[in-house]
Amino acid sequence: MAMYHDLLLHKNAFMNISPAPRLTYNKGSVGTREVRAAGDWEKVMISARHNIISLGCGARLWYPVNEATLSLAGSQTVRWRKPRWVPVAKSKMFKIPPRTITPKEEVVEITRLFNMYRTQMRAVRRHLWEESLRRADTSELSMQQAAEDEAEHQQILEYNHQENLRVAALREERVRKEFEANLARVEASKEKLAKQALEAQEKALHLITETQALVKTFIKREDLEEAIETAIANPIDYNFVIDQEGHIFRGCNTKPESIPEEDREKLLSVAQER
Amino acid sequence: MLFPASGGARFGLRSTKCIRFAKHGCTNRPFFHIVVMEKRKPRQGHVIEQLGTYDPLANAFGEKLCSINLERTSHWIGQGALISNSCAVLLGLSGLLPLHPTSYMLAWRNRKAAEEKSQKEETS
Repeated sequence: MAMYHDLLLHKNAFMNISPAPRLTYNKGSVGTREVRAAGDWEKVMISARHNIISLGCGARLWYPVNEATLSLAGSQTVRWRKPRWVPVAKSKMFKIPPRTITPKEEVVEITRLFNMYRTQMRAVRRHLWEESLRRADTSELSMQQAAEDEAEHQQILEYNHQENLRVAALREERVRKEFEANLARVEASKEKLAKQALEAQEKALHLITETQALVKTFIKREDLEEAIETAIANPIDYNFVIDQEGHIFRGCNTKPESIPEEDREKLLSVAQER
Repeated sequence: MLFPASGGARFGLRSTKCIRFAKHGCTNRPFFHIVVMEKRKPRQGHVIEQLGTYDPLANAFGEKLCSINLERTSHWIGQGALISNSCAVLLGLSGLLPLHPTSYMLAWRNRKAAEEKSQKEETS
């Protein structure tokens, strides 16, 4: 979780800082001179390494122009701004930059402030170190937390198990019911199919009996002559006429006058109208 | 492959770490990431973790914006990471660390300059 603390620095922020409180406990400072000398050594070593690298690469410039300022043997500063063989510019040949002079009381104050700062920083660092130990994974607090978490996890697992059992019982009941419903459905469909099969059989039987009845009316080969003779002997006249009253007169040569009025056949639709 | 600016460098367990600026931005527009790096790594080397940002150019309201992840910063200080002077000043102003003496120095020098300027205006 990143907790970002936004900081606004105003242009004149450094005007408003009140003088530092005086600290009664002052411990002797570490010799700064030795520290600075060690730093110089490091820089010189680094620059030497860079020289070798740029030589090996066959670069256009063998000297590292972009390197930071570094001092040689504590007396001469090399900025690598121009090649080593280029002398000091003529205009700058006899220029002596003015020494910055810090007032004595200011030096005393700065020393005091730095001593105080170092002491406070040591305390802060120690506090943060202890804090990190306290929060570390192997600390007592973390172990306790882990044990609590584990217990909670076990509790949740147990609950999950119980819940699973409950749901399993419900599921079993449901599956049993579904199975029974399936059985019933299959039984019903079987019955329906049997009924349909029976119906189909009946229909087929019916068809067979009908056909058999029809077959009886067929004219056999040996009866053919007789049937023809019968047909010739009994000619059937299919012609008929209809008059405006709806009477039907069958036959081609029938005359309306030859049939008495009460015997006349009527059209079915006309007969129903009456 | 490009290395993420927000951290992930490999580092030795007992190597010296340092909280300092890594310069970003471009020509005439500096921008700094506040990062944890191994002390011997170059300024633009791989960072272990980014702790915040610092924009040294004042915005339209005359503010220089700085963001710091205090949680991680305090963690790394607790782990014994060194702090560069400029970062120590910022952390002092943020209230995590005691105010850096440089801040006091700058303040009294600014005050003195302002005083002298006002006196000059009065006399002239």
